[in-house]
Amino acid sequence: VSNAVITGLGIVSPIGNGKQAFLGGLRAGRSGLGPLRRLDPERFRIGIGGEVDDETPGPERGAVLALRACREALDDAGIDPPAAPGMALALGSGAGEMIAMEEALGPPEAELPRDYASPLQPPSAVTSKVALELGLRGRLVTFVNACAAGAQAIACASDLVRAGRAEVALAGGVEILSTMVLSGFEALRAVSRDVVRPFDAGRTGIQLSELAAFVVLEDARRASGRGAEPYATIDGSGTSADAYHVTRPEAAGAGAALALRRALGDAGLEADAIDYVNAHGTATPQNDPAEMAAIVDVFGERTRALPVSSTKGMLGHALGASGAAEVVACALAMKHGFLPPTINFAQPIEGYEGFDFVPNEAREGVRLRHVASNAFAFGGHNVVLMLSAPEGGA
Amino acid sequence: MSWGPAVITGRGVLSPLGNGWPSFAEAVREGRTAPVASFPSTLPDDPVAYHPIAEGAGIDSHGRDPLAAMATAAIAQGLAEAGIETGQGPLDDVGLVMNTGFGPSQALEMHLEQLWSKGPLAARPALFVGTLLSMPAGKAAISLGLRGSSGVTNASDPFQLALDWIRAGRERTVVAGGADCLSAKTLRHHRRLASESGSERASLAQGAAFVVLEDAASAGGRGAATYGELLGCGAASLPQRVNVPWPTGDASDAFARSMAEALRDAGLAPEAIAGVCLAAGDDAACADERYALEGVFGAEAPVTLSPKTLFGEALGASGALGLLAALAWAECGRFEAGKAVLVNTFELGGSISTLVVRPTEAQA
Repeated sequence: VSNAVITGLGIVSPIGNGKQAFLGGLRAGRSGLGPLRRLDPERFRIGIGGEVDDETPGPERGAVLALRACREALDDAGIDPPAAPGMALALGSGAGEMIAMEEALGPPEAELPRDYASPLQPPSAVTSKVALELGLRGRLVTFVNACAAGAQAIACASDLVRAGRAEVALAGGVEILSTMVLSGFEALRAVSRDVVRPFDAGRTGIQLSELAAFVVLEDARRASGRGAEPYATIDGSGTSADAYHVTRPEAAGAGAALALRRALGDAGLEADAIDYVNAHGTATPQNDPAEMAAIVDVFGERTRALPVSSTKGMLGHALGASGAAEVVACALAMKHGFLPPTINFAQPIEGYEGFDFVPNEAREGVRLRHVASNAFAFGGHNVVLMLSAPEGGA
Repeated sequence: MSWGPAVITGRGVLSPLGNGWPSFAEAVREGRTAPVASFPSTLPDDPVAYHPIAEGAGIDSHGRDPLAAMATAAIAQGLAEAGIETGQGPLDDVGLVMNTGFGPSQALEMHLEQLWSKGPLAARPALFVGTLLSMPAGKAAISLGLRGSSGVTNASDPFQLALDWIRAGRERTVVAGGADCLSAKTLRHHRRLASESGSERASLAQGAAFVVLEDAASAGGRGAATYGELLGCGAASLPQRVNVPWPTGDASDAFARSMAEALRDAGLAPEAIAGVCLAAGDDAACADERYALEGVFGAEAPVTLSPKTLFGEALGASGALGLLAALAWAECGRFEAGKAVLVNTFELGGSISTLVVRPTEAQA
């Protein structure tokens, strides 16, 4: 079994397009959330979200954002797709090109549009468009585990590399804002009317966002052989199901704890080795206490001193892309030696007073050897990724 | 990773040929073809044809949320045959990988039609949640208490993930397969695209099909009956913009690469293969696949059979239905006993995969 190392990063997000802008936004604790511009905010109850600065119109927006992130990741890795013909592509997305689906399935049957070259575009349509544009002919895998999809795509791609099924893989997630998704979460009363406050006693819910985030994963020997400098190694992953409720996590976090333990086991790490947990941290009344219960279950008393933060106050909740963005954030944090902050933090969540949520400001000058990144989803799908600094790294 | 085989200890299926393994297998052995029906629509004077799941499943396959019920029923059948008891508390060591093409498309269609006519403020929370592609798998896991590794794929191969989880020792048991339920508008879009492509394509079909895959040592240890071994997987792609379940270009190279990888993964030479279940359901696609077979097997091509000529194009369930058809054909001696069979699949958007399965000899 080989190691899968991250040799390239690419991201377009509400806090900046490109890894440098994203890194700057994370370190500054900048929020990318505000009144919607591309969708009419007057049509929604709340009308706040995080948008990517890109004017590509609806039906192709997901593929365009994904391609921007993929191309940056490949450039960053110094890999030209024709030079890696067996490159796999694993993509996660909850809704895919949902604006195209709204136009294709919304009108009554008698008024269906007749002039679409490809009217039905589930998330796999984004995968195939990206592969087509990049000239990829290897394995294509699309995950749709809602908010854990991007993380699962990276877990799958790292397994493909570790198992020798692919020497190089592009993996990540993409999500765009659409009427369907925004109105659905507003109907669920899950959206905050002002700001997103993960792990705060006054948390009032999520705000949705769009982004695309991809990593290049590579066999460690191949990367070393060509002199590439990895950001991090994906040492393991764990997945589980809550088997509890379609939208609510189990209060004790049993499913999430199971995924955390599996990821530790897969990485061959003890819980004590983990220096930082990048939390799913949605800021809903239900997620945050359940996630903390899972973390305490796994890390025990040590949790009080274990930094746990959520980037969703800055990035919003990009659903199927969020886990991938969080892996990019972790890789940058490991390389540059800082902890991304939990912004909008005032009072700790009930029962977790004195815990380290990295409040409001990034913490610089830290050494991160092993990091856990959590992604949990509606339907009870849980994914945890374990990242380690490359040998001799930060 | 142990790289040992995974064995099939349970089979569950709802299909146009029959519900439950015995009905499905009998229909495949007898070469029956699935009945055609018109999907209920608001344009009764312009019907859209499809293959519905057989009657008697106790599921309203045109209701608001049939996909979760279809998937749950097929998974439950598989687990029951495998002797894995559900309903007695969480099963932490049983994973689930489900593939789907359009997911709960009837719920999505209802939801989007409502948004189109009444605007976003009319969104209904329960209907919205039911539109998520991951939700049928989530509901099945909740209903059956499956808390092991969980994955939901879209137009992708679910079996590679399941096989590698077992090989890596992450799970002893994984239920893997796929399901699709179709909707009136999905069918209309595909009818138009098929018509524009200028050839007859396999009719779309409803279906849910799963197998219980288990670490061979674990299955042996508990004395479980086995129906086959999943020996390996391969994959390649012919990415395409038009999101249809048939190739829009020359797919022969991708099929050849997929089959070659699967053979390598299984550690088998082409001579060890007794037959191939084709992905193709029509002559045009079939030509590409047959050309690829010549490249892999030379002049001595094994027996080829096309499952889709029996039950149509079941999108996300096609790969699992093809695997079950291979087991059924093996039971009636269509393949040389003791040898393995390849099962090819072509997914929406151009993902191609190949499974290598060796039916259990005692059943063959």
